[in-house]
Amino acid sequence: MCINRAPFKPLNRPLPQSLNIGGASIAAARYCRFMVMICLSLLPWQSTAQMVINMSDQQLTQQYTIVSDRGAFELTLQPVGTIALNKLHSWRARLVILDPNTVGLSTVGLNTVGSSPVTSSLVTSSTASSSAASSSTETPSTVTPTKVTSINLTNTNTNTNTNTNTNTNTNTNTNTDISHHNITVTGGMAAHGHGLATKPMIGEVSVGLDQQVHFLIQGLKFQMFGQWTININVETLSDFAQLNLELRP
Amino acid sequence: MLILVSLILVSCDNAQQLSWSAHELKLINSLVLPEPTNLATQISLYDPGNAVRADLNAAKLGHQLFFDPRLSGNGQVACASCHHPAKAFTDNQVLSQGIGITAMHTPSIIGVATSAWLFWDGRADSLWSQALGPLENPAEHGANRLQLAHLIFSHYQSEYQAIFGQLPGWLADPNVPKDAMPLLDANNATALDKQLAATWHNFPLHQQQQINQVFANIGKSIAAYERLLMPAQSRFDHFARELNRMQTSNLLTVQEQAGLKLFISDDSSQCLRCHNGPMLTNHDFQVTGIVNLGTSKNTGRIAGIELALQSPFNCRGIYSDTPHNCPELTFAKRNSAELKFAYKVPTLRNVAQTAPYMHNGSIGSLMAVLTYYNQAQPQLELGISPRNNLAHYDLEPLRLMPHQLKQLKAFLLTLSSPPAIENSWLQPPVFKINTNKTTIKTTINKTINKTINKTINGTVTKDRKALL
Repeated sequence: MCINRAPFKPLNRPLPQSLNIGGASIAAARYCRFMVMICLSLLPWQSTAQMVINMSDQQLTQQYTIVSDRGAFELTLQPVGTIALNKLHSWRARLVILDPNTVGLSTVGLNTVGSSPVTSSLVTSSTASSSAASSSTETPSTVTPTKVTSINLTNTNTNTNTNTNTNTNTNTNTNTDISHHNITVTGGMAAHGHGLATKPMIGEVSVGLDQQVHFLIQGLKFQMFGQWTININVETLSDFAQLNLELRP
Repeated sequence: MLILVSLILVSCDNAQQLSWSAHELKLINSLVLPEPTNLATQISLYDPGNAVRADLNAAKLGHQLFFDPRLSGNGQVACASCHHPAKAFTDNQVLSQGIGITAMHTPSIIGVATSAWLFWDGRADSLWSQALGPLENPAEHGANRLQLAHLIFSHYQSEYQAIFGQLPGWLADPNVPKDAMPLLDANNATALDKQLAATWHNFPLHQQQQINQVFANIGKSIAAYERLLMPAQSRFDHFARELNRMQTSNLLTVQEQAGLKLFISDDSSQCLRCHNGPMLTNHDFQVTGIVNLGTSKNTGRIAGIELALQSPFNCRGIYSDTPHNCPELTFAKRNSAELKFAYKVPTLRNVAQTAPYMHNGSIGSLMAVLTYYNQAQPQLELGISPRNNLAHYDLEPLRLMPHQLKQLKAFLLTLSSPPAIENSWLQPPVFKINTNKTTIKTTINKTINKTINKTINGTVTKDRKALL
């Protein structure tokens, strides 16, 4: 396990000139890459999961559960609808904190809103704080200790709009907050040396009836078949989950 | 003996049948264009913010506008001047001649409605906003939005109002200036541009917005027409369908099939990484190492996305019909090294008809393009290399043999097909010109051809100045 591992960044491929040394070297490089992939697949990676998506199949019920790199949380992902090449799509995500002590979390109870989930809508760019703060209007009704022991589902700075943001713990901006601001999605195709085609965003962070954190990953687009890696980094938990996808026609 | 060997070889060649794995068949099927009857449901057509994109009357108006050279500063440049229907809607020029010389090569617009981003650098997020760019570009149509609003008022009033409602009545006032537009590029503004901008700023804001709305609706009409230009089934599509049904097909030659096999193999050609889906493009932006030959300072998508976000005619703007539903703009990637010198991946459909190639038209033949990709050497002689200006580069040397390049080329030539639309849509329309209160029916074929064959730089600048 590596601590504070940096989020995924696409590997730098060899410069084109370095491949410019003849067919035998290219074949050797491909063979090496193949062997490395075989070796990697044999390692007991707890933090990554391999998922094959056949785009010709229906994917409505397909979901996959991943444990994060440091074991701080478990993430279950499910595509919304079918995934098609070159089209924007979303994933539903359900996050369960597994071992908060290992990541130095406090044990404050979870604030929820009964049957009405707290929701922070999709917010973009620099206006994120103010517009997100005004998006939730429910009043907290229960405090329910669950497997998730320390989540303040807040929208960061409550000073921006105190009239509407009454549902959340007033102790905001702690290191245990989980909101769309501190979940980031990165990824790419390491073998091709490029990142994602788009900049995905987190929308609709909420606590569901199961008392777990639910959110949408929106704006993913795969523009090529092949092996993709997606990292979901939760800043407040100092951990990330990695999903390996193989997209096939 | 020699004859016998030859006969055996020929016999073997004729009997050769390529076999296809289940994975290959799926890859091939992913490239097939849906049947015309299923096209609208099985393929995504974009034009966010255009409520009339599927309106036939808007398409008819757009058809007329597309071929009308009066939508220009000198009355001689139409959209069709560079997008010739007979040349797969290109002009087969390296760079194009409008009023001046364009900065980029003219791409085909067959199937263009399948793309979420327009222009080589993706600086337009819809087909309708793309159509507005060339109209006011001094090197292309060289028109201005007030001039175009007057044109619509004078010549297309009934057609326009049937679709978009009333035109501003004050356009009938003879004292209203004829030409005005805002300053689009302050750094390179000419005296004429400044004069047009000064006139523009004399209009109150609500009148500026009315002119902008007419201008936007011109783009939406042209986009509705361009949306109809979807490709018909090519020889490849027919082959793929038969292959899918019968597991074998002779609708492509062995050479062409061998090219297809290479095309879909990531180990061999890597073509499919960017040229995938029914339009054989991922509609994304990639760095191929081709740079502009000193004619433009365009740095590709990294600048294009910022221009799209700033455009008053983007999906979120007040002239958009759906300003709250703009996912492509919302999730667009910005400020990434991967976007520097990245240009849009063009469709390979009709690639045989659209030479020269690349965003700057710098490669003249299909075989030369394949050779470039085979070697994957960026244009080092121009001082561009991964070590300095190119931080990211998407190509790898393929090291294909010469006969394999020929096979690939043979396959690419099977992708030709005209637009799947009645021929009348591909011809200049018979339209009315109101001159001296007399209505004359004419066609504009002659004007278009004359414009194309003319070197017009100097005279046209003069003509454009004569506007004022």
